[in-house]
Amino acid sequence: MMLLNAKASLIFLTNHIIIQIISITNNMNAIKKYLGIIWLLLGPVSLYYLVVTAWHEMEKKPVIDTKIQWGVFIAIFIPIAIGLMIFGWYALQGEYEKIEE
Amino acid sequence: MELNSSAIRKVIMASSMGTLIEWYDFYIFGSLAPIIAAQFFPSTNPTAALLSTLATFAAGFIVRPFGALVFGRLGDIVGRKYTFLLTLVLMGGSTFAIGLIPSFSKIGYAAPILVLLLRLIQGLALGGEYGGAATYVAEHSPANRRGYFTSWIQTTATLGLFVSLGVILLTRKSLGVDTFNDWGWRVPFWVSIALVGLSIYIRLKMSESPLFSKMKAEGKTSTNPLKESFGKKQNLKMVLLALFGATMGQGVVWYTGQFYAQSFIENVCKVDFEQSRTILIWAIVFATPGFVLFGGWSDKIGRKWIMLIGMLLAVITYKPLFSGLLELSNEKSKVEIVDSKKIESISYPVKDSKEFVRVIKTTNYYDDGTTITKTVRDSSDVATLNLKSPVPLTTVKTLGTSSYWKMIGLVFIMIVYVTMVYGPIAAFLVEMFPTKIRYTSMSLPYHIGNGVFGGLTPFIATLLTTIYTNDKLAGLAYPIIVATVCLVIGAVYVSNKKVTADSHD
Repeated sequence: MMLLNAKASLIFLTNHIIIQIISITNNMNAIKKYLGIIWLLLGPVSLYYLVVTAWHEMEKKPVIDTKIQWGVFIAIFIPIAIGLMIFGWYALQGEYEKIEE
Repeated sequence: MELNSSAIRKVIMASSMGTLIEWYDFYIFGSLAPIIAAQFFPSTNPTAALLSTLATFAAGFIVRPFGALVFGRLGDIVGRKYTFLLTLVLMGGSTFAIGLIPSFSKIGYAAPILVLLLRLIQGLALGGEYGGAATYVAEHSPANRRGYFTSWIQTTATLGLFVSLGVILLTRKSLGVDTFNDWGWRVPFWVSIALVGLSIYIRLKMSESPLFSKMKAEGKTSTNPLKESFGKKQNLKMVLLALFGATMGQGVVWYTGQFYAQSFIENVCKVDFEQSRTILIWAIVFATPGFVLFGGWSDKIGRKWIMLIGMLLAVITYKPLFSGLLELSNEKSKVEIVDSKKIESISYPVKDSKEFVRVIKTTNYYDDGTTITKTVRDSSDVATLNLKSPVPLTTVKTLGTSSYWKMIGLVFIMIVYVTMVYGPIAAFLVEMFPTKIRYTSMSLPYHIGNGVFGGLTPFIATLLTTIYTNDKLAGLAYPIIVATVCLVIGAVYVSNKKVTADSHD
């Protein structure tokens, strides 16, 4: 009896997930919105990764060339990361729902 | 105003020729980076010198977005024609001047500073040129054939690289390697001034873009294109979408296929100077029609999926393609003709020392026609007869015919991806923005995507291989990750807009 109940619950849960996926897939605008969270987070996360890598590399080879290289990368990437965050924010606000096909 | 085919051909020819020359000017610097390093930077540390040159080369890419802002604004206020004439003069003048700078040994640190300054001017000029040329051609073309007509502009970037490699190889061959390394490298820089003069003459005869002229006559041009492009959410969101959903991925696919591939063949596979360049030249020759093919096709089925499929293929196949390049140059996969092996050595005493140095050059021959020459140096102390372990100096591989053509095939595939992502991009960008702020709006994402994301590809990929030294393909992580993010953003957010013949603007 318990096994049957568990099986029924599993089927119910699977169906529920599938229905949710279908409804999300049918709704591109929802995907556009929720993916906005990823772009919003990707900016600072990638910047953090870049800074940590730069720090390790500069510690390993503390010469002026290494410092200049990594300094340039970080300086260039900061505005790009901010741009990605703005993009994510716009996506989350539904700004890209209105683009004409 | 609709132009007939012959008039459009003239517009394309005049625009493309100038753009081709600008790309030529831009690329000769990159192709000659090691020689420039030796000429203009302190010779005490060759690695530092090379890195400095690459940084100077990278600087040329990084300032491109600023050129896009400066000249894009000018182009939206004054007009397309005069702006891209100005960029052409700046580019040609600075290239010619690089060829005149005395070496570090003659004028000291003034030499690298001048090189850097001129390189920055080159980058600024290129930042203004491309957007102008693409906009100019698109605004002369019927709306439903923009992809086809602007794709001719797209061929110039690749053909510029082709011409630059050709001029360098021809000069090197006719002057000899020593003379070329001494002063002959300056010739490709001087050649630029004649090409630029001719292009200016052709461009001066052209008229302003019809859409821009109409807008100007009606007094509808933008008074502040920068504010309208980036200060208003409605346009800024499209600029960001163009960057993260198209040009970012397109840039890395382009620079991986045409630049990192060549650097990889020369520095990782150790294929010799000439072969590593002619492999690229042949691949470019065969793949270049792809720009026009995919540009024209995008008029029929839309731009989006052609570009995204190009990115997808690149993401999936880069690792096997680059592994293939490594395998083709790997002596372990070939059968050696042992009898033909040649060993030459020269020994000489070290001044004021009891040490003797010996340079040993070993040439191995393989059944597929490949030859591999390895040079090592060892030394011995005459007093103690102590032999120090050999230090490898150089490895140069000359591929046999079959490996050579297989390598061309692999690079050809990579350049086909380039034609897929790059062929339709000018029309795609032009159609994203309104005429009055088009030059400014399309130039910025294009040059961040190509100049920064793309232009830094060889530099970042090489840097990654110095961090993860055990993996020769570690450098590919950068283009694969960037192209994947761009692919997802492009697939979800970019619309596959189809333009009809009666579309305006």
